[in-house]
Amino acid sequence: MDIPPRDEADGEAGAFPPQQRVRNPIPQFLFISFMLFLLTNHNGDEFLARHQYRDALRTLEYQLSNYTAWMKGSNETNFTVPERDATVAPLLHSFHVVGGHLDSSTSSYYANTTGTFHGDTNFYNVTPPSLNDTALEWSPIAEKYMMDANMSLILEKIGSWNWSASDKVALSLVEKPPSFINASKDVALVHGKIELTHESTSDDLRLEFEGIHFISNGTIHAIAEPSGRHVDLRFLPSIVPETFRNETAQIVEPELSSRISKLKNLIDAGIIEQEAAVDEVSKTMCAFSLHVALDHVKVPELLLREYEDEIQQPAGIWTVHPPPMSISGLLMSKECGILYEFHQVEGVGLRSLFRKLTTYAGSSAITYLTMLVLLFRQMQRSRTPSGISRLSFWTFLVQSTVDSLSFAGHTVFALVADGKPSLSLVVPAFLACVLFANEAQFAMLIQQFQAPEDASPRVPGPTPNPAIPNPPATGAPETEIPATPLPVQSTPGPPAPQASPTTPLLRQPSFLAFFIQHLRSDPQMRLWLVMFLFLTFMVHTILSATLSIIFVSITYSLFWLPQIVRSARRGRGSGLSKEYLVGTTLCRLYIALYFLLCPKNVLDIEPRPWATILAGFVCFQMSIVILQDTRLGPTFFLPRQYATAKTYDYHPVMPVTYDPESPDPSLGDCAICMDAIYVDASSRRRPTSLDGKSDWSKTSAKGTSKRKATSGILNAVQMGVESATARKNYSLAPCHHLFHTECLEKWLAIKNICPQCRRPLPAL
Amino acid sequence: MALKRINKELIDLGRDPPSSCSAGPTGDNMFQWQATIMGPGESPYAGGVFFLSISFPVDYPFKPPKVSFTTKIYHPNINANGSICLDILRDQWSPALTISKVLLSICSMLTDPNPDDPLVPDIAHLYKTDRTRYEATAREWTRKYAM
Repeated sequence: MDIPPRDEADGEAGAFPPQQRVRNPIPQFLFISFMLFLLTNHNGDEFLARHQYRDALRTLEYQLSNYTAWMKGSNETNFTVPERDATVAPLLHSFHVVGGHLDSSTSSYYANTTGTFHGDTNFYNVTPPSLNDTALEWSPIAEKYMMDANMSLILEKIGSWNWSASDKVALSLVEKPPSFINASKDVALVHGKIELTHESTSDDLRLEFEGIHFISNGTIHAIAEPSGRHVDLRFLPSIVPETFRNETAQIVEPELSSRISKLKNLIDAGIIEQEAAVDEVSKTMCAFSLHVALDHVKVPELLLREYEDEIQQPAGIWTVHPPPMSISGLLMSKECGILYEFHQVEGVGLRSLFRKLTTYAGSSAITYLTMLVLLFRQMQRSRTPSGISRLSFWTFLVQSTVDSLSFAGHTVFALVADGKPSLSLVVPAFLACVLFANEAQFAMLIQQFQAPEDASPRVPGPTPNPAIPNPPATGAPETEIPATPLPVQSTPGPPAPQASPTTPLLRQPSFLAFFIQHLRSDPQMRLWLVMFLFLTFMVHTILSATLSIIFVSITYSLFWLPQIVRSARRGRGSGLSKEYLVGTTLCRLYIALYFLLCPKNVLDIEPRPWATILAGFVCFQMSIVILQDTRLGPTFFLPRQYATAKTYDYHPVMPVTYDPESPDPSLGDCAICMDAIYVDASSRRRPTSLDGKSDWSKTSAKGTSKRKATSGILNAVQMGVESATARKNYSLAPCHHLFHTECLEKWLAIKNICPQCRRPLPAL
Repeated sequence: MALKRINKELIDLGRDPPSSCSAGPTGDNMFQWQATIMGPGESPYAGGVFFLSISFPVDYPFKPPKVSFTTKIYHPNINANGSICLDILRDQWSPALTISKVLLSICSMLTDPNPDDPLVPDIAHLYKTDRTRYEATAREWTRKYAM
C-alpha cells in the first residue's frame, strides 16, 4: 500500500506547480545563455590576454637592451635615437609654445600637472599642397618642417578621421615623478590621453601620449599615438630640446626597466587584465608629437610649492590660492601634415576635481534622499486600492528606470574615479538603488491592482457572458459563484497556459517559428524577452553618452504624461500630493539640469540649451497634474467633446416600490454580510417618525394652511437630503450586484473584483 | 461583523442543509467549526464519512476560512496533514462564498480530483497513469479511516 508522502511544509508551500514540467526548458536556457553571451562581450579570452602580456614584455626587453646599448655608445645594435628635428623649435617659437626660466620670487610654474584640460583648438593643414595656399607668417617654417613629406604616405596614414572638424581638445595628464634614486628633481614623466572632439557630432578621437615634463621651464614634450598603438619611449630624447637630451635619455632607461619588472610581476601574479582599449587605429595611423608650455602663474615659487605640497599631503596650513593651471601647446604630426594649436587651455587639477566630485556626491545624495522621503510619504498616502488605482503605472516605471540608470551610472562613476571621491559617490548610488527598488515595487503594486480593470477593455471581461466558454489559460473560475459550486481549481502558480506549449515542439520544425509560437503562448517568455531587451539597452545606454542623454530627455519628457492621460481618461485626479509632485519634479530636474546646463559639471558635458525647454515641459506637465486635482477637473485642458471620461456612480437612484403591506422595503441581501439592504437606513424607523409627525400635527392642530404648506416643503427638503445620504448606504456594482457600501469598501480594500461574479470593479 | 455573518450561515445551514455535508460549531467558540462530508457515491470515497475542521478568521467574510480534513484521505489534492489544495480557499476567495458552498466544492473535488495541480504529486501521478490502482488505494483508505 502506498503511503502518501508526508508534506512537512504546510500545504500551501507544498503546492507543486506542474506547469514547470510541461514547459520545455530548452528555449529559455538558450535564451539566457544568449543574453549572457551578449552581456559579457569579451574581446578575447584570458589566454589571449596573457599572450599579449608576454609579447609586450618581450618588446620592452628588446627595447631596453638596445636602448642601453645606444646609451653606452656601442654600435652593436642598429638602434640610434635620431637627432631632434631642427625645424620644430622655430615652429614652437612662432606659436609661442616655449618655456622659460622665471624669477622665482614673483612667478612660477606648476610642478604637478596632473589633471584634465579642456579647451578649443585650431586645426592647420601643413601638408605642402595646402601650405602653398595659405599665407600665414609661420608658413615658411612649416614648409621647412614638412620638407621631406611624402603625400602618398600621408594619405595612407591619415585614416578616416575628419581632422579639420575637430575643434575641441581634452587632455588628461598624469604626472609621475621618477622613481629611481638620485634622479633630478627637475624632470618628471607624464602620460595621459588626448581627445579630439567634433563639437557638432561629439565624435572623438583618442590619442595616448607619454612624455617628459621639465619643471624648471614649464614645458612638456611627448609622443602621442592613437590608442591601441603603444608609444615607444626610446624616442623621447629625440623630441626634447637639445639641452635636455641627456637628462631625458637618463630617465627613459630606469622607466623601461621598472615597466619590465612591473609587467613580470603582473604575469607572475596571474593578474591578467583584458585591455578594453578602444581601437582607434582604424581611424588613423598618424604618430604625433605634443609640445606643451605651461602658462606661468604670478605666485612666488616657494608659495606655489607649498600649495602643491599641501594638496599632496594636507597638513591644514593656510596656503595661497593660485589661479588655475593653464597650458598652451602644439600637437603635430609630421607623418600626416597635421598641426593643432591650443592656447591657454584651462585645467582642472585633480584635487579640485575631487572636491567637485565630493560636492556633487553630497548634493545628489541629499536630492535622492529627498525623493526617497517624498516617495515614502506618497506611498503612505495612496495605500488604499482606490488611491492606487488613480496612479499611473508608467509614471512610476519610468521613474524607476531613470533611477536604475542613475544607480548604474553612479556606480560606474565611483569605480572609474577610484580613490577617495569614489567613496562619496557610493552614497548617491546606493540611494538611487533604494529609490529604484521602491519605485519598481510600487509600480508593480499599481499594476497588480490595475491588472483586472486594465484587462477588461481588451479581453471583453473575464466573464462578460456566461455563455462564452473562456479559454483555460485565464485560470480564474468562470462560473457565477452563488449559482454552482466552483469547479476544482488548482492553486494558481504562474499563470501559464497548461496545454499549448507542449504541442508546438512537435509541429514546428524551424527554431524561429517555434520561438515565435513560444513567445505568443508564454507570458514568462515575454517577460524574459522584455528583460533582456531592457538590460541590453541599459548597458548600451550607460556606455554611450549620447544615448544616455537621449534616453534621459525622452524619459524626462514622458514622466508625468502617463499620469495626465490616466487621470483624464478615468476622470479622476491623480491623488498625488503637491508636495510629492513639486518635490520630485524639482529634484529630478536638479540632477538633469546639473549635467545638461551647468558648464562646469563633473562629467564635462557641454551645456545643452534645449535642456531649459525640457525643464519647462516637465514643469508644465507637473502643473497640469496639479490642476487636474483641483476643481478644474481632470479633463479641463481638453475640448468639451473629448472630455468623455465618465465616473461610475455606485449609488444610483433605485426604483423602490413602496409596498404598503411590507413595512420593510429591502432590496435583497448583501452577499458579503448576508444582511438585508435597506434603501433608506431610516426607513425602518418610518412608522415612528410618522407617529412623531402626527404628534406634531396634533399639537399644532390650530395651524393655518400656510404653516402646513411650509412644513410640507421643509419635509420634502428633508426627504431629499435623506434620500441622497441614504443612497450612500448601498452600492450597485456595474454588474448589477448590490452590496452595502460599507461591506463593499472593505472588500475592495482587498481585491478590486465583484464578490459575486469576479468582474473588475471601478474605484468606489 | 464576522460573528454576525457566521451566525447567519449557521442559521442558513439549519434551514436548508446541503445533501451530503453538515457543519456546526464544536463548542462555545463560534469561530471553530467541525464539518462532515459523506463520500460521494460515484467516487472511491463512497460510504466514508470525512471530518473536517473549519476555523474562521476574525475578519471572516473578507478572508477565507481555514478548512482541513481531520480524517485521513487518499486524494491528489489533500495531503497527509489534511491540507486542501483548493483555489477558493486561497486567493480565489470571495466574500460571497459560504461554508456550504465551500463544502460542496470539496465534495465535487472528491469526485473529480485535479491532478494538474496536485498537493501530493505521487498520488496525482498514479491517478493519471493507473486509475484503477489509485481507486483501489483510495477505497482501502476510506474503509480503513473513514468508516
